[in-house]
Amino acid sequence: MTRRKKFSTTAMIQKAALYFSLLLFAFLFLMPMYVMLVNSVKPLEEIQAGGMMNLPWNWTLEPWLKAWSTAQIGVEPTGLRPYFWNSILMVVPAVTVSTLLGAVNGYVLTHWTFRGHKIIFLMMLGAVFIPYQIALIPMARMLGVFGLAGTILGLVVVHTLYGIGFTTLFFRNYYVAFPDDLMKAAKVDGAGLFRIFFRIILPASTPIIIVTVIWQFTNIWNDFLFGVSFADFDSFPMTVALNNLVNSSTGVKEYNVHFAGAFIAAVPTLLIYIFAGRYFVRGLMGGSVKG
Amino acid sequence: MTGLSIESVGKLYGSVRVLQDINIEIDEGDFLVLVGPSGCGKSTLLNMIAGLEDISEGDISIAGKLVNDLEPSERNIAMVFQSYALYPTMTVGGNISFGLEIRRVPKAEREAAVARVADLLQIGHLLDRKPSQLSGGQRQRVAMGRALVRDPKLFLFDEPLSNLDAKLRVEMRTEIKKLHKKTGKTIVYVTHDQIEAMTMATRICVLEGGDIQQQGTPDEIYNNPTNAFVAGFMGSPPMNMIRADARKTSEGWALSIRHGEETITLRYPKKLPDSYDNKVVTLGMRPEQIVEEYPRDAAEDAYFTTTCTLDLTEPTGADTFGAMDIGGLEVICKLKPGSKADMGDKVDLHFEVGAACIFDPESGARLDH
Ligand SMILES: Nc1ncnc2c1ncn2[C@@H]1O[C@H](COP(=O)(O)OP(=O)(O)O)[C@@H](O)[C@H]1O
Ligand SMILES: [Mg+2]
Repeated sequence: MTRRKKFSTTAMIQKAALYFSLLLFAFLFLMPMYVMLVNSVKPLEEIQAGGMMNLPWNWTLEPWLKAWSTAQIGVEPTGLRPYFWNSILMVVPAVTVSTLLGAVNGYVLTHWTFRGHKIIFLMMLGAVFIPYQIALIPMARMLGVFGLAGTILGLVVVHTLYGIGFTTLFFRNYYVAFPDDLMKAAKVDGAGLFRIFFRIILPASTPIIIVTVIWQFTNIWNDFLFGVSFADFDSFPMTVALNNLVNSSTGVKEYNVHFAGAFIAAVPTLLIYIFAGRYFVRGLMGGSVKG
Repeated sequence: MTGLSIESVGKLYGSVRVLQDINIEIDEGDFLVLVGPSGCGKSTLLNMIAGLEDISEGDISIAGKLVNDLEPSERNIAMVFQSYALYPTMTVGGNISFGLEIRRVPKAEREAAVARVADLLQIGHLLDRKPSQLSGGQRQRVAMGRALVRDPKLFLFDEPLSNLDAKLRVEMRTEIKKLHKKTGKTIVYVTHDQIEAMTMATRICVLEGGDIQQQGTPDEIYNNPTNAFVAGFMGSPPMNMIRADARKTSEGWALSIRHGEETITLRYPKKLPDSYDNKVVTLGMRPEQIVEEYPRDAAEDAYFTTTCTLDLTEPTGADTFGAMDIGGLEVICKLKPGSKADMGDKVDLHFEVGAACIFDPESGARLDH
């Protein structure tokens, strides 16, 4: 009797400890977001008066509007808006193309193998491990040669090339589990390489497409190094513009505007996680090929 | 007219030889079963017929037309796979009509063809489902439907029933046989299951280690095996392989076998090569050739009768088998239906010696003639 009771108290304590640490971590992760959010809707004077954790006395959307359309970015008072569109123009084609190429690569490397396919895959895998810094100078030179330096198209090319290693790896690992008989049956039915890909393989790839898109989107959207290295004043992506906003040294630091800007920069990735996050976890768990 | 002809075909993967000197010729409408243990090269041969594997050596013709350099889709074949290989995101109807769609068959014709096949296989009510919503047996039918819909010259089946449970397998076996009767198509069917081979085939080809061991009708394969491998592979329970001493006497050949303390000498009515006088041979006898009760119409002198001690009896319902020790090996015999004989009992057994096969104990080659 007493033993049993003692046992259940330890179980209770363990459970409490578990919940406590989970709550603690959730708190630690959510805290900065809270600070950003409340301070982005306060007038600057309230921030300067201290009380970073307090809710605003006067709610205002002014900092958001200012960050979006009138704040000083570098020398121009354009707000983040043009750079937000730069980022969209960069991220959409780069994610689409790198995902599609990864899918084709993964498919060919698993089901239309040719002599030397293992070497090719190893080389693509190698691309995953090349540190960004090593690629910087050769890449800048190449973009210069092709006349793409300082353009959004140049950034699209760089991100696509850099992403192919990852996307190929993702799709290859997903497609190895597809039975070879599927291709054989389709060949007997008269389908060729691309028809099999578009009619049979791609429709069965939804989970891995979602994983790859999330991965590529967040990486490319959040990239700073390539943006600052290869773009120009009129082609900077959001991340670089945000940096310029925060570092504009004219007058007082408008923290509320900075917070709002940072939030605007984070919105697309947040949305992606909210809408596709559960597929991301599921896809990473792998396996469930059977459609 | 020939349905399929395979001439001197071989297959190499790099320098590894998987098949050699395969020669098969079957008529239109034949049901050829390629049977052999796992890994003997059956699927490889079937894939070469289909055009899914390159032909390293030799020629393959389908319905009189050389197909070596044709794509699978140009060979006028259809194939059913062991894993069914249904397209996971298409409906059953979509799976069945995919091949027609690629061949640009007009929609109305396609739908009529799908309806005809669905009717034949009784899967009409499943046409809108996805493969993941089907049972194993239903998937199997859909896979067959996909093959049947195109009305090809040659059907290829690669172990289509081996993923089904025992009962369904027997049902589908009969069904495929009926389909063959009804459509009269040429079929090549791969299996490792000798019962499937015996029950379905009009011709059997036994493969082992990349070689054809024997081909012929099921009857020839079963009753007249060319070597010990074929004899042992076909039949369940398998043929008994008994160690015997051969001796040539003035009245013909005699075979001595040991049962416990006794030596039993059987008179063997067929001839053996003279060089086997005083040598050890393998006496191959099927369980139904060692019986407690022989058929009423049998010639009495076809049997040699002796008393044996049973080590074990195995009632299987219709038949009762007995096991005994001969020459240190277990030998299975067939007892009377409903036999009450038990372990340790002595029974009179009739050996149908004239029907037995003699093999070389090392090479397995058939010796009697
Ligand atoms: N792609 C391949 N490369 C090398 N060896 C192979 C390949 N495919 C099959 N084999 C070998 O060929 C032999 C026959 O295989 P298979 O035709 O699948 O046998 P079965 O269908 O009779 O079980 C096996 O020993 C197998 O290991
Ligand atoms: Mg096989």
